[in-house]
Amino acid sequence: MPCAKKSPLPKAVFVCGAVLAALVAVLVWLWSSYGYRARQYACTNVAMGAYVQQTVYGGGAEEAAAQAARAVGDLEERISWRIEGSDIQRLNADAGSVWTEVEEETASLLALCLEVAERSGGAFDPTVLPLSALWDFGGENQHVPAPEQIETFLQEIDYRDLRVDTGESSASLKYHGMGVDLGAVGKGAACDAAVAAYEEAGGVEAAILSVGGSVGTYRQKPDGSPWSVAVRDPGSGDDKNAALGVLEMDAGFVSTSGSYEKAFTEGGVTYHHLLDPKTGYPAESGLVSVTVWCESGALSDALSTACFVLGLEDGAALLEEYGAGGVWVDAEGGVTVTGRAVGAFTLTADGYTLEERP
Amino acid sequence: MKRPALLGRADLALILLALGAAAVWLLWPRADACTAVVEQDGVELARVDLSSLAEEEVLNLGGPYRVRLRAGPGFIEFLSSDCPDQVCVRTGRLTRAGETAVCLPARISVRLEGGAGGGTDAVTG
Amino acid sequence: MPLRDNPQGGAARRAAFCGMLGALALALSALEGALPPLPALPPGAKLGLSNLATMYAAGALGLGPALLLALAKALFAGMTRGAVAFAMSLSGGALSTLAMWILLRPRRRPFGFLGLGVCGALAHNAGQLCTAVFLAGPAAAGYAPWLLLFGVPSGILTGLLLRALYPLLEKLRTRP
Repeated sequence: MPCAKKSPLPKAVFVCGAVLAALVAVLVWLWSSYGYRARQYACTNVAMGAYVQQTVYGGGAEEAAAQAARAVGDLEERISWRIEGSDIQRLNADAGSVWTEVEEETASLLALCLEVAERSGGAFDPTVLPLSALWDFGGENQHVPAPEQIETFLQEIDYRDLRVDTGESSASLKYHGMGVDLGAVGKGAACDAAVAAYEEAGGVEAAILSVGGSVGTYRQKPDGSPWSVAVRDPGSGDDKNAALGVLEMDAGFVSTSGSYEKAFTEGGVTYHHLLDPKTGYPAESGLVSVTVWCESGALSDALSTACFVLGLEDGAALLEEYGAGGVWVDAEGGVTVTGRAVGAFTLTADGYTLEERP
Repeated sequence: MKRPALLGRADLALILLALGAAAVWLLWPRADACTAVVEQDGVELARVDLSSLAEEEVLNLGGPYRVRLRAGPGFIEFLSSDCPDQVCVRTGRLTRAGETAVCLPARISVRLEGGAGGGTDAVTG
Repeated sequence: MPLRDNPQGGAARRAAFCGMLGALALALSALEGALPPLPALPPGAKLGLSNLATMYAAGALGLGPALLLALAKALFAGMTRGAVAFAMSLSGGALSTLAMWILLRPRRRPFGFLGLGVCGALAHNAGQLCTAVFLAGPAAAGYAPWLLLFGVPSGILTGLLLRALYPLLEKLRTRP
């Protein structure tokens, strides 16, 4: 197709231009549908006694992931009762005396805990530290305490004696000896902090991260499919990687509370770390794990703890108040899916029966 | 002084060849290539291409807990660790992209990357 | 594209013409830089219009001046966008210049303008990819098929533009 002798330019250029435009359009479409795989960045680090695993999409992914990891570290510095000088450590040290100045974020997290504590009738209680420290699940000194000890410490646990002033960013515990333990919301709150960091960092198209058992998402997955989050099979024993099923979510946060984590066996009995603040012993609600899906990480974490203690019937009612979805696994192998999780959760493990309650 | 033509047969062949090669390259079904990424505190210690392994091999990571990993064709696992909880060892073999095993005391994590689709984005629980 | 066929004009003229091509290259890359960046394109996929100056130079002035031109282009990129841009521009520019020089040897010219443009773009991308792999690690090689794909249209565009500018350049080069 050599060009004509005289003035070959206009026609040939026009045809080539048209072909070129079509070609470019096809290529751009191809790239935007399939090219994203190359632009994701994954990393893992340890914070809050859990591993933080991030998958970040977009040009600024690496920097944003580092910023999110720092945000999680900063959160731990503020809310861990074990860290000297943290908001919670100072609040606990001031128990029974003065109001303690805390960071704004800490105050609103405490307020959220109080709200869930109230609405769950104390099934979730942020002031559980005296008991949780006594049992010391996952610690060097984990053991079954003497009943009298539990009885004594039980009296120091009451969320109504924790007061929070979000306007002044301060909080107080009414009696000496009380203590706040935000371990039950920390990982969910860490997901919130990381997602806020992605927003702030810019250059992030989308991201998903897990902190321990909590998962947070940021925007839509670039290929347009929903985020798929595997829910761990609580009965999978040593192979903890087996999945019970998959939750397909367009947005939001998920947390799971399960009796298989941080458990120990003494005298032939297995004790798990989800304490019932009413009895002082591991909750016995017939459940082995609860997964909660809602709009905030800290809330999903608090609700999953509350629901594990409350059991299916009361817990499902609580989730309905919040418009949250739930996946409940009981000791008999029944899986109940409630709220917005209906239709989003697919059971993949064998040996379970599925019930859906929209 | 001869001016080159605009579009000759050779040009057309080249363009089609380049486009075809790129298409084949992109669409070629990838073997379920799984890469194990070993990280300590976010710093990558090792990267093992599991699909290219013919025999099992043991990685000694050392450290205070003397963590050892075993990698083989299509899997990797914590072989032993002196950590108190042994969660990492009990996690068992990782075989699918997206799976993770962690030794928290040693701050070492192993995760499988790659493999086309099928994997989930995160795990709760 | 042949000055080598027709080595007329003195050294000063050649130098002046070379400088003019350099200015053209810089102007084209500045023009490209002024276009809004397309987020829908893979990183590194650029039009590469300034390539046409080195392409023409490789044919008309020979390998030496063309490589000098590539170096000038890279220095300009380095001054405006930093050391990484310098390395990328130089590796891409040098490789595409070399490819052009080979393809424009006097007696064997397999390709027309479009083929030349595509070869130049592909060589340019290949050079840049090597630098990227060297700087950012083997993961960058995952872009290879995409760069191959996008090299075709950008090469065609460069070829078209060169075809459009060719008479003008020839006139400038041969007539006083």
